[in-house]
Amino acid sequence: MSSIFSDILNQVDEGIIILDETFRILFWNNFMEQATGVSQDEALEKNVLEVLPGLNRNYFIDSLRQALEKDYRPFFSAGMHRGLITDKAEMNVRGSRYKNADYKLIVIECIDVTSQYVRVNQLKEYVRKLSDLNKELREKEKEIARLAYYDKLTEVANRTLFYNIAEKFINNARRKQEKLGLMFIDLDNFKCINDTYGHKVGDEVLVKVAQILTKSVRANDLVARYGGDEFLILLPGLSDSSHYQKVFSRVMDGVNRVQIAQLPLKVALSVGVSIFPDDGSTVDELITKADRAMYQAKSCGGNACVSYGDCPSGGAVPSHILSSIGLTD
Amino acid sequence: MKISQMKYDILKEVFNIGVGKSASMLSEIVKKRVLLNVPHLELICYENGPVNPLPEAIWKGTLVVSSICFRDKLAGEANLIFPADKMRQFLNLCQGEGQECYLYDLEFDDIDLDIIKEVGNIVLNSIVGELGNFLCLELNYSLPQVKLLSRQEIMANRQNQDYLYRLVLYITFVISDTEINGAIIMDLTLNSLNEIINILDKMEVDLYE
Repeated sequence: MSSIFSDILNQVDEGIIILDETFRILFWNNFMEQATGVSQDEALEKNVLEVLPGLNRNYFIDSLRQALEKDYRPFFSAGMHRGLITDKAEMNVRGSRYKNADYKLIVIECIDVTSQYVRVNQLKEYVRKLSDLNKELREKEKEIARLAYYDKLTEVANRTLFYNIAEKFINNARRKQEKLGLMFIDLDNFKCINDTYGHKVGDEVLVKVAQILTKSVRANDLVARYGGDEFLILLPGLSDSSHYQKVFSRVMDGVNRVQIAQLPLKVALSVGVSIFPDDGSTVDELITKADRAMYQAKSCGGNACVSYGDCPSGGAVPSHILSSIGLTD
Repeated sequence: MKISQMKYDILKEVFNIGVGKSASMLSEIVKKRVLLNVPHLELICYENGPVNPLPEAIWKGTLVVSSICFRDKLAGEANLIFPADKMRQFLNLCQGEGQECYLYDLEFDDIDLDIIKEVGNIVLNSIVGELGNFLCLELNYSLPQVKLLSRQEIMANRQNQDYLYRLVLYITFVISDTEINGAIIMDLTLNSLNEIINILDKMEVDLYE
């Protein structure tokens, strides 16, 4: 090869290997020396598969043969072929044929793309960090939303969520001409529990009661903490006004079994019920009526459920007290 | 120009031999089972105005196009086309990446584009090469190029107005049991198509003799 072309090929910033038809190395430029650590003297006249064992694969040999015979121009990417040329750098490999009347040559170009890998890996790392951060932010958003709509202690809905949903339930009941039940639940003697056993035990009682209420209702019903020791339950699509009795019965079953840290405390509830549209047409009206019924239950000794519809006007003792312990009509 | 069903079948067979060879090479490279076949073939003529063979419902969004040109007795351009999301899926399978991929479907880095170039080169060279073998012609190939285009751009992307005919090969790629549908669009000059048709005519005559 003329000295001037050889000098030019030694200056280019990519590896150049020239092979004869038997894959014998005729030229090995400076870049290849630096990239592989194999000097020109060591490489020249040797079979390329011997000098670069990474190329000794059927598909590569077939591609070189096709390049020689059919002018096919093979291209091998570093992404699919790690360590094809050297373990020290990532290289794309391109092949082409040079042909004249007497002989055919194969020119192999090795293009160093290691910097691309570094850049892409940096980018991937950056995207990964962003993705993690994004995930963290989404979790925090969820937590904020949870705090905004759920009671932190008992994890049931808070007042805000209750009012949002109650409005929707009322509109829905009005549209479908259905009944909607509202149960107002107040723990009996809760102050006494707090004073006797401390607020920590009081909190545990509230959590237990919230869990029992949640387990006692249907999936579409809503349990909310109204404040202090007061809870509300919304019962949409009430097929029968007395359906709340079943809920109350399930609640009492659970409450009777409550045990807190082996303490001899007994949890009891007073429940008042109002029904849309019979007892009121707004959320506040229903709460007020259910609250009043709850006080009727309490005034009879508590641990009972009273429907506002069964309360005599003027706040006399209710004619119908359900599931009361020691209290009958 | 119309060609008979028999000629379509012969061409389909030729292309299936080509894709079969490329599938075997790709299997060896990615060390996974790769199957490729050409279930359907269409010839489209531009004499009466532009035609887009790729149905909009399937070929929406960004398409990844890998191209090579060939010259000499047969002149034209061959493009391997995949919807970008399918290509992303294919690349992940080729590189053995797990489910956790932070890059979006339509994002391709330089490493991805080089892999696409390699896969396109293998498939297109096998197909064009098989056509060359079939016609007993030696072709001169260009280096592969990769572009991201829309369906409309592909229609307008006919490099040379002499390319009057488009052979559309709908291909199915199966890699590790995942099926990926793509297409190969081969733009051909009238002379090139005539060259193909003449050979097919001879074959047809031989068959019936």
